[in-house]
Amino acid sequence: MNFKKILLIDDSDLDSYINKKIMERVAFAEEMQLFNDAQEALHFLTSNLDKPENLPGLIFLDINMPVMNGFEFLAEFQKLTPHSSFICPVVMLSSSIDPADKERAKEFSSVYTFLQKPFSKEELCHITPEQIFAHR
Amino acid sequence: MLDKQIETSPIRNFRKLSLLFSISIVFLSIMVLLGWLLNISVLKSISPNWVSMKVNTALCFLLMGISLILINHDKTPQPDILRKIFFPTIIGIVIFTGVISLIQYIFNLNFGIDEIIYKDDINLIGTSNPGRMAPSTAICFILFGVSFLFIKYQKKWNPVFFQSLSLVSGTFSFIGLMSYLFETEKGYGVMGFTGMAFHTSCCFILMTLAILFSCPDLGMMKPISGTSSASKTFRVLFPIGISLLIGLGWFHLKAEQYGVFERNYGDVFQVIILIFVAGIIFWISTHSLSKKEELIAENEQRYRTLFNVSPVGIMLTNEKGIIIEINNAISKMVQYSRLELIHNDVRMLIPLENRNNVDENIKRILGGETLYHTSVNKRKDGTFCTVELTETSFTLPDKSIGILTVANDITERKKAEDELKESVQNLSDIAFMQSHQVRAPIAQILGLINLFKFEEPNDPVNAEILTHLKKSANSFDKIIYKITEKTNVIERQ
Repeated sequence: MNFKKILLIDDSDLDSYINKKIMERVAFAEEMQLFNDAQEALHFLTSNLDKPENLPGLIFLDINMPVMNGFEFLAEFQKLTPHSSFICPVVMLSSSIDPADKERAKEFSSVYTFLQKPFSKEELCHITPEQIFAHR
Repeated sequence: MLDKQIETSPIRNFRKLSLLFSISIVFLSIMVLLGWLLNISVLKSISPNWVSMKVNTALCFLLMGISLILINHDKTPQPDILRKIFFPTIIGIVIFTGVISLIQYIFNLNFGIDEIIYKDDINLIGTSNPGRMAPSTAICFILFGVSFLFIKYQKKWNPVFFQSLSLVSGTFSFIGLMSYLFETEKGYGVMGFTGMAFHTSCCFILMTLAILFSCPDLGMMKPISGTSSASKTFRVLFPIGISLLIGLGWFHLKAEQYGVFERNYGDVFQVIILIFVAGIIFWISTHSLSKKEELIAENEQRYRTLFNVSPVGIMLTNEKGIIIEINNAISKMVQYSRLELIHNDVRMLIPLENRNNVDENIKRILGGETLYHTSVNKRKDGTFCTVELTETSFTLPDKSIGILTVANDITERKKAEDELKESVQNLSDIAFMQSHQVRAPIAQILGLINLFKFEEPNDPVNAEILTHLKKSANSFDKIIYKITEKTNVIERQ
């Protein structure tokens, strides 16, 4: 079963290209919306809070990004939840092998899992809408 | 308590002597009173041909002696009954007796108080008015009474004043005593008035010493009771000198009386002995002082050497920040000579933008705080040095408050620390690059290889992937170059 819509937030076009291609090969989602700026993505989510059809069922978020990094995005993103019924798990992505990033990601309740780039099709196949629903 | 702790040995000895002399005065006056009571001539006048000590004189001595014992006995605050009633009454009686006796002499009156306690002897020797104390004795009692009051009841006036009064009285009585020793009647009885008795003179001399020694740390006694070699020399030589001179004079007199030599030879002999004695006294005091001065100069040189060779900078400033003294280490630190810094404002060493901190620091130090801080100082050549400072207040020789600064030049250490910090930062950057930036193109390469369709080599996606692979490889190459650059910097440091 595929996700209806997911958001892919990564400043690297090449990373987004690779991730998108893999997701397409396993038909991970019906619709994939790409953002290379976390602030833009946050703005999109904020302005669509009252339009559930535009909101994603899962967000893939890169950690190291200029302007607003993944953790800063998460801090702002979690503030949105108390004001709306919108709940969306986040999959953290990073090419880093620094264990501190993984530890820090655990501090955010909205983080579903942490994937290291490049993720494989198998890793992707473990993330299903059912499991995400159970996580909520 | 504090006074007792800092009391030096000479001061304690002077106080003990004062007590001893006071007790002697009381003892002598009681002996004289017993002499009158039991009619024992030797107690009244020592020698049958000498003037007797009158009853009122003996009573005044008894009162003064008791007062001096009470003053010396306990230095803690005395009870009000002593301070407010006993001492003023006693001294009032003594001064009153002296004043009334003088008035009687001056206006040739007789108030009938001279023999109010005890009748004088029938055979009056050296006595103009029966039972009345000598005019010189009356003056001495007035002066001693006033002097005593000054010791006890005033703190504002210079103590030299009351000590001078005692010395004047002492001189009067000394003249009287010398008159007995040198057998000149004029000394102890003038213008036909009653003369001062031998033991009256002795008691007055004891009283002079008792009053002076009761406050050994004040006024003219201060330099005598000190612990310096000059004080010690005075304490030893003065009594010896006085005794020698008196002894010499007496020997001269007796030698002439017994015809050992004629008067002219006697005078020559006396002058020679005087020169000899004075020479010895001068030599001993000069020797002692020069030895002390040499020792002081040697000590000063020793401490100055220590001060100057200290590798740590030491600077003394006054409360306004004016430099009083510096050592060589400070001079080396800031590249100014000692003369260029002394009497100048310490702010000259502080860069303009930091000068406001100086006033605040001085205020805190003078408030009793010890400051430990790092400061940047401007050298003479305009360059800067970083110094680690410990600053505290202390009392300058003129009793004003100054600031002692101990400075450690940490410019080189600071430079090394900064370099170390930079190295650590570079290492940290390299670690970051390795975990984040190096990993990024590798992750991309791995991801692209995963996407590559090996089973369909001619798929147009593969060409796209290869282009991306080239970009990632270039990006990887740039990062490796950056890391090599940073590693080289660390190696150079």
